[in-house]
Amino acid sequence: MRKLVLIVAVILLSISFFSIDTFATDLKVAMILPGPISDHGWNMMAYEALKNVESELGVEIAYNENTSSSEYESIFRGYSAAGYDLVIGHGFEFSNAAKKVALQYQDTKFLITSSNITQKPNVASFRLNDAQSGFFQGVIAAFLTESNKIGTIGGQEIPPIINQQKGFRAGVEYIDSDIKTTSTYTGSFTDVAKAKEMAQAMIENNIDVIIADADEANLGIIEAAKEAKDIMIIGSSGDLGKKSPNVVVTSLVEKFSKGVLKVVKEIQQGDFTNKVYEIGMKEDAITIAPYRAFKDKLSKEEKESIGELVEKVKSGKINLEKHLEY
Amino acid sequence: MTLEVIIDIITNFMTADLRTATPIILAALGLVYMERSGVVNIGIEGTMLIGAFIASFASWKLNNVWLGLLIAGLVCSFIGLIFAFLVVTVKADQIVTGIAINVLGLGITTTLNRSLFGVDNSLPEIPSLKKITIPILSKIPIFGEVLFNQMGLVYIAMILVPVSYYFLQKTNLGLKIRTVGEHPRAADTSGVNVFKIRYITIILGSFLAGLGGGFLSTGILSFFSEDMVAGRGFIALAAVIFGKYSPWGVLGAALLFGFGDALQIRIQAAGSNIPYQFLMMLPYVLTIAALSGFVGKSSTPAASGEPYNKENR
Repeated sequence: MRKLVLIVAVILLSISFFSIDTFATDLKVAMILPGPISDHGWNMMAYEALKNVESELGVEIAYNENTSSSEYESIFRGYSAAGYDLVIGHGFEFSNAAKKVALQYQDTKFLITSSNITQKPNVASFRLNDAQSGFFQGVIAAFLTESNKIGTIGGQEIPPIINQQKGFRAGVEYIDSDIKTTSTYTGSFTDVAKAKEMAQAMIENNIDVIIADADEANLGIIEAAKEAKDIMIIGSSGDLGKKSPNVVVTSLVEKFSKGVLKVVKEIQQGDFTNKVYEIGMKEDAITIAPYRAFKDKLSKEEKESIGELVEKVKSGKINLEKHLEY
Repeated sequence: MTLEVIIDIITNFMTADLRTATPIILAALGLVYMERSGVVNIGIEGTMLIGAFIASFASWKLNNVWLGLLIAGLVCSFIGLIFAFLVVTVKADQIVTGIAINVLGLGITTTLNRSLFGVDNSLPEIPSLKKITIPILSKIPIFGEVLFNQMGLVYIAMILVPVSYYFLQKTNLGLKIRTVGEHPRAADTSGVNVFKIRYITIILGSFLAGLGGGFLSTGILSFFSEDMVAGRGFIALAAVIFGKYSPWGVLGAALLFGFGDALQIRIQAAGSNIPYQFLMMLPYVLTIAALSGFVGKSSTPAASGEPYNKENR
């Protein structure tokens, strides 16, 4: 009797192994995030891109958030071994781990965002033209400021933010080179209290437009603006004004979805190569969020200038490549 | 720069210093009680985070910030109870258990925050602490504004410093606590219940840590944000050592650190060319300098960190 049960069990087990394989027809895409998906910024936009690809193309998705750098390699390996077709590392910091694992798993494709590192045949990068976001943050801030002092509050000084800062300074100078800009870093993308203190210190220094570039910590900057008078905030990455339309004039929204969608489509068509995908305003991956309560703060001429500049950047007439440091 | 402007700057600066130091003062006071009885609670960071979340959530649900803070303190006392059970009764390693509390704190607050408020959190209006101006005294130039025009919990923190000093140094229970931390066997033989004392200090200390975390989410800010304690629990641990395990020392250490932090933020905001990394080092450098130059030898309670075992000879 026991022998019979054993034989049946072995047969059932073997059948179940085979059935796992037959369901693997959909593309599987995984994403590894350095931070939390609730940060209204860097990580949230990437998470939304992943959800977007799931709903648009019906791929199976998975993700890891708050990943610590010691785990990068093992997580890349895990997804590759589980048969994922595309593993995305969200941020240039993932490139070393990706390159290493890519050598062993040649069938898996790897994509690093915000970087220009590639490796034959299966590691590609894509980057948003952060200098473009920064440029328009600078232009709009320059139009808005009445005290002629603008400040930026960043989390950490990482390459995408460095590029954004360079674009920002170029944007401010383009409109009015007399405006004083102050760049600060709190050192953390989650320390809301510090970001609020920084914003308050800036407000005490007569800065009336603040560029919020600290992901989750931006909420602290917004609260500081709410407690003061006539302070205007411009956001980055996500649409900050959606929740706080009374202090956030606009945001430079960076839609990773366009980039991720493009890459997954290419994989589906078999066109994936190890190149650097450059995405910017031309592909509508960077947009200016609606002004909402501040509709009338900018004059008609100013809005037209902004529109013209957007067209020039889209067509390439204004080239911000020199501001991309890496 | 007129005198008025300078006075304004100094006043704003010192007000900010005391305000930002308050969560650290409260947590560090809690730690002083625990450390004096021989318990090292690394889990203070996780406890503060839970306090921050509960204070914000309870304040919202009950529409009363003080009730919210009270409940935060009580929930953290319960977390303290769990910690006490593990390190005093089960005699688990205090450091490892503390780290576990930190992981628990971050995980549970993040999960609850997302499920109760949603990943895309739309922040509701949460009742928060308002400034309470004490009449007459707040009119004193500079110090009046700094010391007597703050939020209620800041006053409580300030009062708790001399109260804790008096309690630890001049009362019977305070003496028992100190003995348990220095020489638990001697305390045990003279009839002091070492376990009970440690349970008391851990629960009380965790209550204060909860208030400290709660001040972040209902005083300095009016909402909860994931991982918002951002290492302040560890600063409190350092403050206890720099403050030589005494309430007044801890106040000084917290204020010194807050001074450095407020200073570096203002230097950055004024548009300095100094790389921000050096400025961010400022509070830490200041505290190290103070420790090496002025503080002298720090006296750790002799039985710190070791579980008390009645059988050991």
